Order: sequence, then structure tokens, then C-alpha cells
Amino acid sequence: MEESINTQFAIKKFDNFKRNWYKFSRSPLSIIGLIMVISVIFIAIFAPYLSPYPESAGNYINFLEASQPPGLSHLFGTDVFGRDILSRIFYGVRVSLSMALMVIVIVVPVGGILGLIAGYYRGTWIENLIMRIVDVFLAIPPLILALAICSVLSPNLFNAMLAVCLMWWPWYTRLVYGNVSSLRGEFFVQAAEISGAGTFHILFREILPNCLSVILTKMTLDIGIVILLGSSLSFVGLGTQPPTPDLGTMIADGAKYLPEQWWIAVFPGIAIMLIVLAFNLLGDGIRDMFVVEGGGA
Amino acid sequence: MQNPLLNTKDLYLQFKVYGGNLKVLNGVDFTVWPGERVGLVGETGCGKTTTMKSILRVLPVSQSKVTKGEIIFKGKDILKMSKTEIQQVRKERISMIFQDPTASLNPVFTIGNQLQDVIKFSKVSKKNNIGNKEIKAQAIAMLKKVSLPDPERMLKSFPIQLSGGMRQRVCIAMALASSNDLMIADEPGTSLDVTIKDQILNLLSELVKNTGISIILISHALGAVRNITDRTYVMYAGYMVEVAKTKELFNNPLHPYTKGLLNAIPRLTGKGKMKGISGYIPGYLDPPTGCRFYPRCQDAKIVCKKKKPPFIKVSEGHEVACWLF
Amino acid sequence: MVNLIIFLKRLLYILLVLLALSILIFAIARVVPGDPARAALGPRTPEKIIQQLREEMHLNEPLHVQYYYWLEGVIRGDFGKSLVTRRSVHEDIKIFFPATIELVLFSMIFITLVGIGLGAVCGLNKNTWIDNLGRLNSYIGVVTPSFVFAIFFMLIFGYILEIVPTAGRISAEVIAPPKITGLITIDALIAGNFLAFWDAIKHLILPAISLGMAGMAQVSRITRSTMADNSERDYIIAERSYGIPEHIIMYRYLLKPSIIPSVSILGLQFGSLLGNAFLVELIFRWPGLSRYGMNAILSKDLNATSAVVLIIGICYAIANMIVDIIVNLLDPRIRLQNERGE
Repeated sequence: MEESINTQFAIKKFDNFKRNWYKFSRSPLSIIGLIMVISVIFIAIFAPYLSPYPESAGNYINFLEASQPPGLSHLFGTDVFGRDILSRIFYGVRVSLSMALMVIVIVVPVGGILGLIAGYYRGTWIENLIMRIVDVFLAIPPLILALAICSVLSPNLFNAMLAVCLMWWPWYTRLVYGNVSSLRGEFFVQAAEISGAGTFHILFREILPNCLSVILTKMTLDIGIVILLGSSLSFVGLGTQPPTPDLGTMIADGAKYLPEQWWIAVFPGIAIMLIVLAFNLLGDGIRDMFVVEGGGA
Repeated sequence: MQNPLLNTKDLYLQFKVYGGNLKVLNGVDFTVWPGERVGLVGETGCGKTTTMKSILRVLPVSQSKVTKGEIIFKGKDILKMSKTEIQQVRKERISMIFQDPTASLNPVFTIGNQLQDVIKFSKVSKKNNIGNKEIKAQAIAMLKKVSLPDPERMLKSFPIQLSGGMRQRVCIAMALASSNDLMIADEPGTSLDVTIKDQILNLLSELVKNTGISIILISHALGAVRNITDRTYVMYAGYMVEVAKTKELFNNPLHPYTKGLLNAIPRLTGKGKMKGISGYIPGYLDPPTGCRFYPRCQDAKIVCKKKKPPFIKVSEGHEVACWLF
Repeated sequence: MVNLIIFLKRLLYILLVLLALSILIFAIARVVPGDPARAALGPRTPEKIIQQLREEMHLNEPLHVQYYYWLEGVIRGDFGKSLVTRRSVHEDIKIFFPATIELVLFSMIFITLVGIGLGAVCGLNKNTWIDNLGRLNSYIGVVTPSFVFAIFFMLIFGYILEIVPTAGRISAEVIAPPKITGLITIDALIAGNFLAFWDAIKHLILPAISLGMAGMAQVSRITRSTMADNSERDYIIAERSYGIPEHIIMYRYLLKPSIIPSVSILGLQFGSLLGNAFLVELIFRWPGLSRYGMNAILSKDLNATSAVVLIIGICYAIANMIVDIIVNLLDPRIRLQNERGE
């Protein structure tokens, strides 16, 4: 008996998945996004194996090969130190993606839980406190905050991540707060309360699953934005330090050699665009997946 | 014998959706005479609003298509009119009051703005150039006609500041301003409470008496049309199934669906329980051939499944679309 | 009457937020390891002089007292001396602030006009090639960082096509107008110097557009979808059935409610422009506050950093307030809700 319930449950979940996949796959752009994202992740993981010149990611100097325009031996050319741009881009993708993932992994739970609490305890001092703090953080243009933090601490990848986390969590809190506040008055919440469910249960088993669609969509879109923020920070010199390759840093360095050696700055720029585009398309697809089809009458 | 004001002949319409075509209107025959009050009754989703919208040609062109039939208004086919001609009709001849008065008023403009614009574009033409003062005066007159208090202040108000009943009256005023021949009232007062709804219906009745305009009153409740209309149509799943003088319809319903509807009205006297009609309206993607009521009809015959019944005249002014007759 | 009270309430709220911001900045500044006095004077200065400066800067007193002195100075406009430029920060700000404001202002104009215009055109012509082009444009705008735009534009329009200059605010040959507001374009107009005006505009185009592309993409996206949604609303169908001509419906009854959501994010846009301006200022060598602030941050020039952050915070708050007022004017629903105190 138990077994059949489990299999029924599994079948239902699979059905759900099939239905969601159908909705997702209706838009060709979403599929493209998915493929691009998978490629990006693939590149990030297997960078050492995919790069034609993996040593370019480190302290490599070879003035014989320096400043070569894009050609057969170096598809995207080389920089002033002779390092292969293509390889550096692959490693740079790794850096950007890992930072974005780590930020999301921290910010979403923390911001989300705070929003959950604030929304549930609407009208109490808890909500006021949390939301006022959110307001203060949101009142500051995000990059300024990140810069200020980064400058106080020494510039490296970890601190850049920390800065972005601190800048980003309020958005999730606000998002979840809005969602939870409106769900708060819904009947199923009241029903759970009346039947004696504990707060923990209500928050995590009743309300949270209903917010998941918004959170998931925002998360995917955010990976793109966080990558943009991260590259802005490293463009200014506050992220990873040389010789670790980073897309933002590469552009900053390359900007000095415009317009003659344009390839040093342009290709990393295109790389950033493509990565962020990938996550945007995927995010849009995920959002479309959750749209309930309206019936026409 | 007068000519009918409006006559829909065998109108077929479908909506294009993902997955196929919704065959929403399935041969609608519908007539309105000048100065008449006609009721149109049917369940939600049977095509009442769609028929009306196609009369005014305000359905989205990309998604809807008339596959057969004509809509003759004052001798001309609306479906064949040019853009300017249909615009003329909308400006001066026919207008519609929608179900939800809140959604029918643009929230960011004042009542005055909207009403005066309607008047301006309905009455002002190359021939009679009315100045703004005159337009404002006419607007106030319109508001008075629908019994709205303090018209001056009303002009400066925004829709959000008015109550539901007031908004409905404003919509009626705007419809009055842009129609001289026919007014279509789509479930007026449905979203309002019963006393207000009553007032609105009486108001409409008065207007018809005073101005000689024809009115089509759409409702999903038979009770609403009972006292207000001269003749009533019953619609089901995309076409008319019965038409009669209202009194006659209530006293002597013929079509099984009409009978079912009347039985479903709870009564204060007489024997107890109400009876509903079992089943659901058919889906429009793949509707049943023949009579669309066939799956729910208790008296169905074999021929009902195969062929769609035409209007059969049973007595003077009373016609039924049913093979039982 | 009621509006005034709400306005004051908002003002108070903003002041509170700014106060909190100042405390935050101050806290960060004091958290930094190292001695501000020594940093100001240099490593070779004898200890006694350093102690003197520490007394002057109240560094030996408890934190809240220090904060009080700092805040007092700030209100007077005295942020102290910049480590980098060795001038008073106040002076620096007077020089660099107008440049950034001019850049951001032009960017805002670009975002508002092109964003709303493009969005409206796309929303009205849904699913045509115009719309698809517009959506492509939005996508590109959203995924590309401003400095990448800056580089691309500079390459294409500055070097390859050579239409516009690529650095600075004004060409060396052109005589700058006398400084009244600090915004070269406006000063040039006041002085009647059209050559300078045109030259300044040419210098502004690339940076302003690079900075504003992302915002423009967002605004046009929102305008487009709002317009598309609203075009199917009941009131539009009703207005059509009353016989109101189509062009009046489109340009009046559809446009006004559709631009409200976009306008309400313009305040946020302004803030992010201010914050992101340095990226573009760096590449185009624009002598602006953002670049100055960034240098300050990198050199740990605390006085300058706090000043820049505070000023940007104030601008941001003011911009949001202005946007609030505009939205109130446009949308009666919001205005009336506010009056009722909801």
C-alpha cells in the first residue's frame, strides 16, 4: 500500500515535470538559453581541459607571442604578455560563475527567510525592523555600497563576493515579503493556523512553496546581474587580483590598448554579454513556465 | 410592416487559439425592431457578449473570424462596412454598456474628460462644430439624464472616487451620448447589489420610453429580463434556441433548455426543490454536431444528434430551434 | 493641504534614512584599520605632530563624540581634506560634481525619451518586426555592462567612423564658457556660445548613451508590456465602441496609464546611473564625481569617500522624491490612496 502511494507520488511529480517542460519548451528562445547555460557551465567546469593554452591563466610571459591579433594559432589573439585570450576567457568564465553561484547560494536563503519572517509577522516590530533595514540598504545605490565595502577590506574575490551579497540580499527580502504579505490573508494559511499548525510548518510548508516560482525566476535572472556586478567590480580593480583571469579585469586592461589591440577588450566583453544573455533567456523561460494559462471565454 | 433595426442572419464566428479554433458562434439569428426592448438570456460562455461585440466590430481582428453570415443594420451589412462607416455607426448609432463599470472607465482620466471626449467625437462633425462650452453643457445634461447628483463635481472626479452604481450610470451616460438607435446593455448591474441593480434597470427602461431608442438587455438571469423587456431570446452554446414575447416565454417555454432554466429558479411558493440541468456546456474546440444541447437533453431524438435544428415557428412571434416541434 | 503633510512625512523619512546612511559610512570609515592622522600626514612625520593632529581630529574621544563632530562638519560642508588631491574635499566636489550631474542628466533624457518612445511603439505594434527589433534591443541592453557598451561605441563611432570625440568634456581648441552652473552645455547656452554647446554635446553623446543603455532597455521593456496589457483592457474597448477615433485612443487614453510603471522606476534609474557612472567616466576620461569617488575608495581616502557616498545618497533620495511627485500627478489612484493614508 505504501509503495503504491510512493509510486503514485513519483508518477505525479514526473507528470508535473513533463507539463512544465512542455510549457518551457514552447519558446525557442528558452531552449537556446538552456543550451547556452549548459555550455557556460560546461566551460566553467572543464576550463583547464578546453583551453588551448591553459598556462595563459597563470603567470605566463612570452613576448614572442605578445599582442597578436586573432588568428589561427590564437583564435582571439594574445595580450601584451603573450597570454592566449581565449583560454583566459574560459578561466574567467569559471571565476565569474563560481562567484555568482556562491552569492546566490548565500543571498537567497538569507534574504528569503528574512522576507518570510517579515511578511508573516506583518504589523509587528519584527516586520518594521527588518523592512527599515531593507529600506536603508536599498536607499544606497548598490555599486557604491559594494565599492565602499571592498575598499575597506582588501581587494580579493572573497571580499568582492561579500560586498555583492551585502548589496543584494534586500531585494530578495522585499520580493518574498511582498509575496508573503499577500498570501498571509489567504484561506489556506488561516486554515492551517486554526488547525494548530506550528509557525515553522506554516512558513516553510504552506507559504514558502507558493513563493518558489517567483524566487526561482528571480534567482536565474539574478545570476546574470550578479555576474554584471562582479565584472564591474573587477573592472575597477576590486575583484580578483592578477594574474587570475577575470572578464572584468581583462576589459579594464584591454581598454588601455584601444583601438589598435582591440581584441584584448572586445572578446571578454562579448563573453560577458553572452553569459548574461544565456541566464536571462533561461530565466525568462522559467518565468513563462510558471505562468498559468488563462482561459478564454 | 416595419423594417427591423438590426438583423443577424446565420452568423458563424470562430476564435483562433493555440490548439485549434473555438467555434463560438454557430448560426446566430437575432432581430431587433425600432423602439423595442429585447432580452437575451443565456449561461456565461454561451456567446452573448461575443455576438454583441461582433455587431460593433470590436473583437480583435487577428484572433476572430466571421466564417459565415451577415449583420444587417438599417439595411446595410455591418461586416462589409468600411472603417469610416463602422466608425460612424459606433459614434452615432449603436453603443454598448459593458458588464463591469469599473473596468470600463479609464482610471487615469476624469469623468468629465472621458464623457466630453465621447460627446465631442459623437456629435461634432464637419457640419456642426460645437464649442467646448456647449460640449460641457451637454455632458452635464447627460449626467442629469441618468440621475447623477451634482454633475459639476462629477465631471472633475476620477472613476475611483465613485461608487459602483455611479460608475454604471456614467457608462450609461456615455453610451447614450454615442447612440441614437440602439443600446446594448451587457449584464448591467451584475457587479452591483440588488437594489442598485434594480434602479439601473428601471433607469434603462425609462430611457427607452423617453427616447425611443432600442435596447438589447443581456443577462444570465431570466428574472432580470422579465419585467423590462418586450421580447426575449434564449441562447445556448453559440446560437439562439428560442424566442418569444417575454410573457409568452415565461408562461409557455418550449425548448428543453428554457424549461430547465425556468425550473432552476428558486420559487417562494409551490413545491420545494429547485432542479438544475445536468451536464456542462460543450467545449468550443470540438462541439457536438447537430443540436449542441443534445448531450444534456432528456427528450433527445436521433435526429438531434445529426442535424442542427433551424428556427421553427410554433405560434405568432414564438419560435424554437428544436426537433421536438 | 493633505498633500503638504504627506510631503513633509516623506521628507522626514528621507532624512532619517540619510542619517542612518551617514552612521553607516562613519562606522565603515572608523572600522578601517590604520590611523587616519598618520595616513593624512605621511609615514615620516614625527610622532608629536601626529598626536597633535589626532587631538584636532578628535580621534582620541569616544566614537559617538567623533560622530557628532564629523556630522557637524558635514552639515557645514566641511568634509575634511582629501588624501589624494590634498585639497579640501569641498573644493573637489565643486569641481567634479557638475560633470557627473551633466552626464547623468543627459543619460536620463536618453532613457526617458528613447525608452518610453521605443516601448510605446513596440507595444502598439505588437509582434511585428518593429516589436521584435525593439525586444532584441532590450535584451542586448540588459545583458551588456555599461563599460562594454562604452568600449564598443568608442571603437565604432570614435575610432572607426570618427564621428565623435572619445575623451574629455570639451575639445582643447574650443573656448569653454564661463562657469555658472558647471554644466558646460547649459553654461554655453547662457553665454550664447553655440560652438561650445555643440562641442560639449558631441562629447556627451557616447558616455551618456553607454551609461543609459541598460536603463533604456528596462524602461522600454516595461513600457512595452504595460502598453500591450492595457491595449486589451475593457476601457479601451469601451472607448472604441463609443466611437472615439483610434489615434486619440492610442496617443491619449492608452499612453497615459501605460507610462506610469516606467516613470516610477526612473528614480531607481537615476540612482543606479549615479552609482555606475564611474565605469563610463573611466573609459571616456570624464572628470566626474564618480571617478573621483572611485579613486578615493581605492586610495582609502576616507574623507573623500564618505563625502561622495553621502552626496550620491542625497541625490538618490531627492530623485526618488521627485519621481514620487510625478507619479502622484499622473495616477489619480495613487494620489487618492495616499490622501486617505493607505
